[in-house]
Amino acid sequence: MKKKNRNRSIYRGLSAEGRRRVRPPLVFSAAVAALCLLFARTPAQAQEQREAIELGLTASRFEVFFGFPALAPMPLPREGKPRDIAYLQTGAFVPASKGQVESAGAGMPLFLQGERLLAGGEPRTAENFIALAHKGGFVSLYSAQNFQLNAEIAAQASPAFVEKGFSLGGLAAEETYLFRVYDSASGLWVNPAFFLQGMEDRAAPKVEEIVLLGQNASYVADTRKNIVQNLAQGSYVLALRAVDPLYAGGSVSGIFRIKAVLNGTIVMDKKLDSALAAESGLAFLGMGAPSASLIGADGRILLGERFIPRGTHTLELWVYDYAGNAGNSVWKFSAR
Amino acid sequence: MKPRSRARSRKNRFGWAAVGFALLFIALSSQSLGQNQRIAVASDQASNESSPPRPPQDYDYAAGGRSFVIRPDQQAVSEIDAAGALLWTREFATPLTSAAVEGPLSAWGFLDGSIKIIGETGESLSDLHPAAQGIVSEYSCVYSVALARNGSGIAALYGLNPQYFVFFERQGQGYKTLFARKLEGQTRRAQMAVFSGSGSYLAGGSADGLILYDIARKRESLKLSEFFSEKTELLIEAIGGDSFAFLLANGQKRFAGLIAKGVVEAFFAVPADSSSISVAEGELKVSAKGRELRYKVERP
Repeated sequence: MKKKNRNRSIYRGLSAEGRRRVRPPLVFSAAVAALCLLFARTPAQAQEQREAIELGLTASRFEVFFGFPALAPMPLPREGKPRDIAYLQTGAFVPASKGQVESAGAGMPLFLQGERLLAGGEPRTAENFIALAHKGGFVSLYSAQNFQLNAEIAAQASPAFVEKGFSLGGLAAEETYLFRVYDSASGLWVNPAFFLQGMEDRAAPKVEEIVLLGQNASYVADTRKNIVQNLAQGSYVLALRAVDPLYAGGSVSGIFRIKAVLNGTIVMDKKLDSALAAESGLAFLGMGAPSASLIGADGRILLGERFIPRGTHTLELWVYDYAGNAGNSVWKFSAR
Repeated sequence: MKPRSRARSRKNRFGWAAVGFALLFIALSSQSLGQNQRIAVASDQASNESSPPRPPQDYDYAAGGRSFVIRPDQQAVSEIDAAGALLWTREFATPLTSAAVEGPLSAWGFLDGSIKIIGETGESLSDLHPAAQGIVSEYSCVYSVALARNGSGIAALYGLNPQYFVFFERQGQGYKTLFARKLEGQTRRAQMAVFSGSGSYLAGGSADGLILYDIARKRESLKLSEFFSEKTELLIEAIGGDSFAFLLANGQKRFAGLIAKGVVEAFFAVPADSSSISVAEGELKVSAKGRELRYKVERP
């Protein structure tokens, strides 16, 4: 009994020898055709997909300062002391790769601020910067004092599209530039740590100081063991000063999460993952704007007001950096 | 059935192996496009020393007889008085890209395409979004802003793809678009725009040329197009009621000029190192390195 040839249509009319010769190329062609159909894109789709590749920078060392206080020094007045203006930062310092500032993603130059031929005319700092607009509403910003914008970008007569890794300009070797990311679709400044790769950080953040700020009195925590401080019951603003130290040879991933546990109950658990771009400035940790309203004396972050009732309390403050390292401090006190 | 020859067997094995490798290659390359993968950028070894946050450096912006200090991240402005004392500070949602000062009012343009009018004590008086006024571009950003006396009008160079030069007139508590010119060229750098002293005319730089707008007659014109490109820089200063003086830089070339009632009255080359202009006592002064050139326009 003859075996039925199941591949009836293709092999009809072919000899056994012919079938053996034709089969491998046919299988190969069919496989290629199937994969092409599966992943086929129109040119527009290909362009869109290229532009949709997410932002990312890779380097051996970053320093993320998102949500970290900084002081903007003011000119010295004729009388009195200068009043420096505190604010919370939104960027990360990135080393220039071989002296080049590279684009974190494919996008279009949106705004250029470089060396001017004519003096005056616009408000600006001493830093040059370039903003790139990416698909999805992301805008990445690159700024530094000695940043020399790429002549090719600066000379473009019409908005040009740059690929990821494109050199936006140069810096002196070993210099760093400030990298920031704004999500215009959501109105949020995004922690740049999300876009930084190769970041090694094994150094745990440290809680340097915990303070309860009251109307009539303030108490700096004494976190030594077996010490129970006495304070008056009442409403206090919880203030924290913490730092994420540099991991030797690695990066500063930056403080990312703050958690307060009072008597075993989580009373606050907030992240520095983004800051809302509000009408009156930047709102971090889900609190109000401007960012200066979250900064107390000596660079403390103000974490909101809480009523401390009479009794013995244990306050644990945990800080986590973006890499997941944790540091904490425990404070025992008695309120009367 | 005859046994296959060794050569034929090798051919078939090679063929199937080639098919297998091809399929594997296609599958892997397609997968890398299908997923959002981060492409590695060449890394560089930095030193092991810790580098503390860079101390910020402020910059003074002086306009309209007032002094402002711009925060290092360009996201806040502080006004200081003549004695250096702080008057007010205001933080913004995105970095500022342009500004104009008129009397006690100031207008600030931003990277997100919004324009804010600030009062004498730093209070926000008005928030203007050109996109909400029907000025639609693919990308929002403000490249220049001008403020008329008492805030009665705002002009701006706005957007990319396409770029517009727009004039908004105040109506009640808000602003309404009175004029919008869609531009052929686009610039991505801050430009200048100024209202005349009387508020009757508006002049602004763009990649297409010097835009002049007669507000009363609602008539616009484009001047000196051949001298403008995306790289052109322009300084404009209002003179008297209806005139402007300007300094134009296009590469190594510098030109100065005067515009009166919407007409370019004078246009002439100045030294290549000219960097600023000022107008006083009927003279146009052009500052170059180590010297000042004075020009007086004589009208017949």
